[in-house]
Amino acid sequence: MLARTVTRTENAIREHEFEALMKQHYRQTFNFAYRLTGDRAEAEDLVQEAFLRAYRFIHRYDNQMPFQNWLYRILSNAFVDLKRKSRRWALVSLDQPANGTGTWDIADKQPNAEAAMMDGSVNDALQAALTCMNPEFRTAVLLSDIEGLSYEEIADIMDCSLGTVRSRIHRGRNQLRVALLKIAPDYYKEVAGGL
Amino acid sequence: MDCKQIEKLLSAYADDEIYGEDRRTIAQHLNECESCSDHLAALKNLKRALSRLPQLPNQPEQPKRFMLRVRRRRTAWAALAGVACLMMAGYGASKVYQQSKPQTVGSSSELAVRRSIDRDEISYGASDRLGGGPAPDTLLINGR
Repeated sequence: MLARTVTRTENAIREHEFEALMKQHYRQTFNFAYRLTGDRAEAEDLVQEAFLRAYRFIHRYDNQMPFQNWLYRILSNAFVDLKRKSRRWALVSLDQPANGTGTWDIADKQPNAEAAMMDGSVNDALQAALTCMNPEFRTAVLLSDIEGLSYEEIADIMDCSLGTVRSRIHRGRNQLRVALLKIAPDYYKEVAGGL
Repeated sequence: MDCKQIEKLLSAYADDEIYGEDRRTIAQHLNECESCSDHLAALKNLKRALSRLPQLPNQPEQPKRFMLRVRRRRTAWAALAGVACLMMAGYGASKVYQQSKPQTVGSSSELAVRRSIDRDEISYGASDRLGGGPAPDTLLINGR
């Protein structure tokens, strides 16, 4: 009886602490998930899955890594898993698909892209271009440009080498500019005229 | 390094992730090459545009809703585990009960067939091989 009461109290404390952590990190995590997915409902599902995994494996958390970065790692893995399952990203390599140094093109305009062109919103166009990118490249670019993380932190989050991070960001930005050129050419010229 | 090699490093250069000799070489190239300079400026603009994407409004009710779901899920798992334990206990008890019961030798019809076999009174019907009569797998006891 006493043991059960102790377990219940421990659970309550654990839940209370986790809820406090969630409150602290929810907005940033949700924002990152939204930029990754480009869809509010999908972002909510992704964040929920990430927090569920975090709650389940909280005992594995090593506090040498900031908690937010640990969440990014879980979220990125969940996102890549999701995309591998759905295979909904629509990029087709045109020149050199094997080594990935070639240019990239978009196979089809996605609903978001069409909406962005209709209402002419710059942010929507940028978001639509993001959702056209390869999921791993997108993750690396967003961690760098939106979250402002260093390549070393990104390598830690994505569990890869610095060289891989460098390559993913370079190729990701190439994909982004090609996508932007197709979705919103005027905006592209304004932002990235030199590219 | 030529423009093609520089281009591959420009992203990392724009992120301040290139150090030492490589950084100096790129800086020197950028001073002399307008095309690569424009490329770098465009990359920086793209980075700036991404960093200025607006933050979505906060959803303070979400963490509470999430914890509620976690608690519900845990309760459901506990209930499921309880049911599974009960089922296993029931199965174990029935096994113990069956083993403790005295073994029966067999039903009366089984005993009758065994006795017939002992007395060599069982044969397959001759018509089996000729294609008529009872089905081939029919066992005849004393011609019946």
